[in-house]
Amino acid sequence: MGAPRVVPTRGIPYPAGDPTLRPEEEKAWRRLLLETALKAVSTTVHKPTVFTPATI
Amino acid sequence: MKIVHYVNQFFAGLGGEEQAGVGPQSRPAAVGPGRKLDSLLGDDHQIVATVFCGDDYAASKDTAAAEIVALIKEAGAEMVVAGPAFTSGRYGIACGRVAAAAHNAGLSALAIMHAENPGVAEAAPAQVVASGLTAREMGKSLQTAAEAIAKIAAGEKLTAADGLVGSAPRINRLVEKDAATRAVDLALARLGGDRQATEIPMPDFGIVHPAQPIDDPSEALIAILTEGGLVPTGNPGRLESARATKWLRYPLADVQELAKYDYQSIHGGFSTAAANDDPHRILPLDVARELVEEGAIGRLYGEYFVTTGNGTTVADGARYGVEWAAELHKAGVQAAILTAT
Repeated sequence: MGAPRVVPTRGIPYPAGDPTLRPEEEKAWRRLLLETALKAVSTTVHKPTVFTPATI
Repeated sequence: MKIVHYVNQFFAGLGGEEQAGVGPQSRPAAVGPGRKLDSLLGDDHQIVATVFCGDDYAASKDTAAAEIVALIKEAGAEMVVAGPAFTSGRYGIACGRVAAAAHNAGLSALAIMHAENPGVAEAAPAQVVASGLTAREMGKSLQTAAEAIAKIAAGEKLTAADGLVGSAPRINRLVEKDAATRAVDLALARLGGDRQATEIPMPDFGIVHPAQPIDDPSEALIAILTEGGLVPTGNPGRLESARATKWLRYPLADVQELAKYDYQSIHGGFSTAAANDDPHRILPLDVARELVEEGAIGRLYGEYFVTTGNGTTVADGARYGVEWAAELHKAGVQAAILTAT
């Protein structure tokens, strides 16, 4: 739908989490998503662009 | 042509939500927006009566449309005009059903509402022309209606250029080439660089121009937002679980973490078990606080905005986006991170 900066996550019911992980791993994953989002809003884009978080 | 105008209790001047339960009634001549419509129609056509009904009654009672059409016929209608209903759900559904029932009763019928109003689907086989989004666009919407009425009265066919919306009538006709040949022709045209040729135009969602990036998140005011339906437990603002008609704002300033049982997702489009078990799976407040603490984020905006992205119309979604951007801009927020379910 044209969102200019997109960070893909792991599931519709938990865009900022992953219930299959242990609690401390899940929080690290959430933190990585937010850090990736901060990178995205600090980056110039000209069209819808996907910023993939480095997997943990 | 003798026209009977259908409006809801609000546009009939009866009252708002407290009058939504009233049953159908009839008044002679034009009332409310009908007066303007009547003057736009000139001397050729006349609004002879206005029939109105409360939105709740009209949209929820099975017999409502039949009762309304009985009053319309009693008033001597040759044609029924219903609306404009803009994006009002119940009013749109009522206008659609009244137009359909009037058409099936042998009257000429036209409904007026926004293209994304769910009432458009109720109107067939009657026709619908598009109104604006809200009553602020009443004047323009009535102009569209008046021109469509004149065309219908003259026996002409309405087209998209007249504001016609809803499912296009399918008219069978013979063409020279069969479907397979046309499909191959279109594929060849595409390969030849033609990006336009199609038999089925797709809806146009427009282009969102990306905002400039922020210089340094560690000095920025950043907001976290969601369309995941996350609200304080009990849903005090009554956010809808689907087809949200609004967005809400809740404070974060004194909230360190989103404790389980203090928040819930009321989203109706997925299982909310994971979200309710840990609301940070929808709104990442815990790690946002950590990043503020460590200096990676300058400051966190003291509220979060929330709506439900579930069957919500593109028009409503675009409006929420515009309103959110305006609010955040006013508050000096430089970047927003929105979780999408």
